Amino acid sequence: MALFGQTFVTGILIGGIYAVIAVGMTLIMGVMKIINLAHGALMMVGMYVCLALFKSFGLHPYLGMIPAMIILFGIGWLLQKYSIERVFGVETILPESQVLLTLALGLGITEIIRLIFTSNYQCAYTPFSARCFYLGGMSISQPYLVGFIIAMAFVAALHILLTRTDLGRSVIATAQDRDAATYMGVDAKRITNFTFALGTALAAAGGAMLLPIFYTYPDVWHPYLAKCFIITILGGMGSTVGALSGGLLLGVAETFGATYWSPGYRDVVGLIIFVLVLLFLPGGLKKVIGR
Amino acid sequence: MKKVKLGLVLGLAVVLVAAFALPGCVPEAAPPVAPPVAPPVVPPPPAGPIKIGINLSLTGPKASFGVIDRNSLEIARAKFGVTEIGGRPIAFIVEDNRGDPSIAKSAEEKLATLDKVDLIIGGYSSACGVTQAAAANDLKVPHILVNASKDDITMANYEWVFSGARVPASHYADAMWSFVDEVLIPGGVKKVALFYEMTDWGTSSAKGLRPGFEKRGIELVYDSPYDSTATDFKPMLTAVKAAKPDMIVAVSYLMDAGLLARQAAELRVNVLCYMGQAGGYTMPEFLKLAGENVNYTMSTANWSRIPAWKGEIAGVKWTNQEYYDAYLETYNAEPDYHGSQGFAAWQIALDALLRVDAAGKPINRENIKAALEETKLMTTMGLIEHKEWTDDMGHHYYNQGLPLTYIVQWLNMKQEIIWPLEGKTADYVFPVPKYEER
Repeated sequence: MALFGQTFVTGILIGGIYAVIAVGMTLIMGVMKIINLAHGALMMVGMYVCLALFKSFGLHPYLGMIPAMIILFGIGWLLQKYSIERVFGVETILPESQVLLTLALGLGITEIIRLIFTSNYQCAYTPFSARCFYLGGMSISQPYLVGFIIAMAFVAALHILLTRTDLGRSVIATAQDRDAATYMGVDAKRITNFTFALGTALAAAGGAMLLPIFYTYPDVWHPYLAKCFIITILGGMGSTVGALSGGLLLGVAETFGATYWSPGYRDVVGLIIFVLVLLFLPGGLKKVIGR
Repeated sequence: MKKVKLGLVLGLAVVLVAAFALPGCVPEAAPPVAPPVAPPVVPPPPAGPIKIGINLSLTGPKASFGVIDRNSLEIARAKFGVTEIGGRPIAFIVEDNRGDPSIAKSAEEKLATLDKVDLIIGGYSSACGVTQAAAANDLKVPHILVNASKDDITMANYEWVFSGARVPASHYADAMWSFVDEVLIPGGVKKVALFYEMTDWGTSSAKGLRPGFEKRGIELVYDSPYDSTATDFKPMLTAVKAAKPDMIVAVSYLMDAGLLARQAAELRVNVLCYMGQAGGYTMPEFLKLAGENVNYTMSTANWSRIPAWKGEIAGVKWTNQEYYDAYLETYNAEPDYHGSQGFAAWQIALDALLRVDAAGKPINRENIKAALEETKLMTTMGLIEHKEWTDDMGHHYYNQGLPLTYIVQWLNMKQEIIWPLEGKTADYVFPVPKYEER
């Protein structure tokens, strides 16, 4: 029973952090109808911003998260406005030119970071990184728990923003029908810029939460991009509640797979879920939850 | 029309046959008698440098290992001070393979074909070593391995590849077995959990470990590979804890070793003994990553500064301790066996180059290879001989030596040699205290 409980708790805690990274991607996918393959790389940039602040000023990654989100919000806005927006609606050889552009941006960003920080693994461990408490024979890691709480707060705030504010309603309107939203007076271009920037800032927040627990290097984003993609498909495009449910489900499934099957096949579990959802639940959990 | 075409084809055939056949039919003309001319005085070609290629992971996830290798090679180069042999300067051409096997192969090919090096030294990580060794053998350039330890590399009968001072992965635990027999089994170790990173080195090590436990009647209650780039090992450690082993045996690189030590402490995976299989567990950075959780961790190690090994190369005397002191002084960090293998690699290379020159032969790939085949040299890793031999597990090696191995234990956040007893720097602590009692 302790094994089951420990596995479940670990899965839920890590799943929360997955959710906050993925919610940015699902938001972008919902509004722009494209897969942002630069999302993981932008998360990695957020990690490096926090790392630089930690190493230069001793700023804890949880505090460094705020400037990292602001910086990444700006980067996201600029990327959307001056690169992705430019190929929107333009006739190109491939209809998926925007997706290819995001891939190129992701790879380019990775190489720039490699040039600046080298490929070496780097970490921002503090005494807090190793703290934990024990509950009923289970170990609860404090940085995991804090990361989970912050992640839940971000997802809740985003949900309120989208459902209770004019700005959020404009985002949802643009996601539902860009042309209709434009006719209703919504500045769709500006909303798209905002959505991309917000999604990027959330990715940076997720990266900042990972930093005290793990480590970073320029290619760290590859598995997280795959996880975001799985969560987005699992949760349903543009759904915050779907992203949260998908993140938690993936975290728990991976952890159970690693504990009861083999740690070497941990990522296989996520891919199996991905295939099963595509086959049997193409609309994702959003269809089940109805939000 | 058909007749015209046929005629053209036949005509062409006749012309072609004539063109190829007739020159052979011409009787050989008597060679013209040339007036005697004094042979021109051709100056000998300018002696180019002796090029030594260095192919290591200097950036990337395995950079710590590659950098300690390169630093140690530089210390060895400075120590022996040989800057030229036979009037040819020695030039190092360094390639960073970023720990990527495909880049390591490309770097090997570049060094061999574009730079036309005479010898290559390199190979940290077995995955890189595998591709480097195959490329070196194909391109016929002698290669001295530094660390890459997968058994198969020197079991492949590559005539151009030499083990240098590396230990084959399945022999990392040579010292551990006597420790198991004399200390661990009498101390109550009956069940072992084995986990290993799932690359060439990890799987090769695990393959060598299993029969040793089986032979001693020790039950493997957990046996699993893991992805060394994973960021969360808690599910695996939770399963290990549930299996209730007396001992953990882990084959890990650096970052995973640090995370495993921390997360094992968080989950309180209490065992009588946590034994790493060298790799990340002996690196100075392990302390930075795991902090006080390094304490009581044991690890097999392939080198100790304690044995009073010494020798002389190029008229310069050296001792084992001198290398340790030089590294500490130069880089303000303790070297581990990886570094010592780097130092020894240059000892082996330099010895071969000097023997070629002493024999009055030109220093080229063929002659360096022949010299390396005859290597029998005392190094910081002990006596190194490139031999063909078979071990008791049935592994048949070519150009392979067998340096001694040790066991270290982290005590008061410092690595101490605990086994064999004649080389110890501190007494071992076994069984180790529980995490909650530390």
